Amino acid sequence: MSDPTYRVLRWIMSLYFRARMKIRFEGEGNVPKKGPFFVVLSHQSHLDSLLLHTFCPRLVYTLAKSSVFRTRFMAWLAPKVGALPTRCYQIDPQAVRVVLRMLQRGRGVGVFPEGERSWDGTLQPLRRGSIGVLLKGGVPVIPCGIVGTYEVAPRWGDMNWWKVGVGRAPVTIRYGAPIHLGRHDDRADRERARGEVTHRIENALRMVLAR
Amino acid sequence: MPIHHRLYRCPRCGHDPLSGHKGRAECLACGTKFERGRGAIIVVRPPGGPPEETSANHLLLALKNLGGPSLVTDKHGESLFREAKIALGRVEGHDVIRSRGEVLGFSEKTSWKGTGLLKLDGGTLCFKPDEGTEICFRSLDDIRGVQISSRAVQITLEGSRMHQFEFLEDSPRRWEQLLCLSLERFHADRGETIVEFKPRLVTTRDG
Repeated sequence: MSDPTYRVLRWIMSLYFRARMKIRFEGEGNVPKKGPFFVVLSHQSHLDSLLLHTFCPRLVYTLAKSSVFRTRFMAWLAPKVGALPTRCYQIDPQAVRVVLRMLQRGRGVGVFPEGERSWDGTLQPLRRGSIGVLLKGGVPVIPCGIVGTYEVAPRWGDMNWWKVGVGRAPVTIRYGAPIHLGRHDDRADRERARGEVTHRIENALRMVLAR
Repeated sequence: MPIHHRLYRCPRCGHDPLSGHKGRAECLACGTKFERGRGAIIVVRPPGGPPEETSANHLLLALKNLGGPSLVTDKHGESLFREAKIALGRVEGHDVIRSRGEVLGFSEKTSWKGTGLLKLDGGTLCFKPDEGTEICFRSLDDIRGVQISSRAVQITLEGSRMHQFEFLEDSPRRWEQLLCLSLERFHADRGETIVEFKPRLVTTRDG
């Protein structure tokens, strides 16, 4: 991981986004100043992970679909800006190992528990695997809602960087209070906790996504 | 994704399919035109009427109320049948993604097997290449996962690697919904409910 490259690109992207959108921040104090943590977000647009990487008070690493890394250039660049590959058409134990390694190093990891972008801007069912990773990690989980990106760049629309946020569309990045799930090393233990934790995370995401 | 792939039927009259290109679509039955507006807004131009700006979600809801992907009714009742021209790809291996010598994960290598016709007929899914013999993906029971990317639908088969169907004309979103619907019906007949389609099909037994 190359933090200097990440920090430089964060600065460049922050200039771009601030020029294109009217960005408001809420609850940034909920992000821990040190130590490992998860940020969970609803995925409504291509822009969500970029906005999180650019504006989160701490550097975060997020799982990105493996096809992003297909070209040599992206396979070189993406890890430098905090993207970790995951094969989204199968259960990927390597991705889980890398996430746990990042947490052991005291880093923050961003997780999109719906596993894909929403087609209509609403919260989708949370994937079992994502909840499993949160339970395995055992670190504070910060719910984050990025409100307004669906209206700027929905999944079904072609992405045009020159037209993103024309008219300075309003976007709010809101962090909720940390959720402490405790560590669940045992598989049976995770299975038992899964239902209730899914419900808690869903409710927390609905709150941070409220307009 | 072009607008006529996202709204694969006319949300006003239900005609199937919509024709179009990139940010514009037109219903050849009722003459309504749809145009991408700013962000998630779609401009609807009914024939002879004033254009109106509407949220895409409003149109998607109308599409859902029409029944989503259209079904064929024959003498045996309602069935799922559709054909589409595709390019077939298959994952043949992986590249290792490293950063500073550390293995971060893997990226799939897809090899293309040519173009042909993909056919969904009730409980079977077959691919007829432009040249060569038809390949059937056994029964729907062998499908272990379904997911959509921007231009393609990917399925994972039991004991086999991921297959990618890149649609050359038809809507991948329609095909994802059709495949999910046929899998739901297939498993419902066996008393099972699908809880999750991706990355792996998860079912629960009813009752």
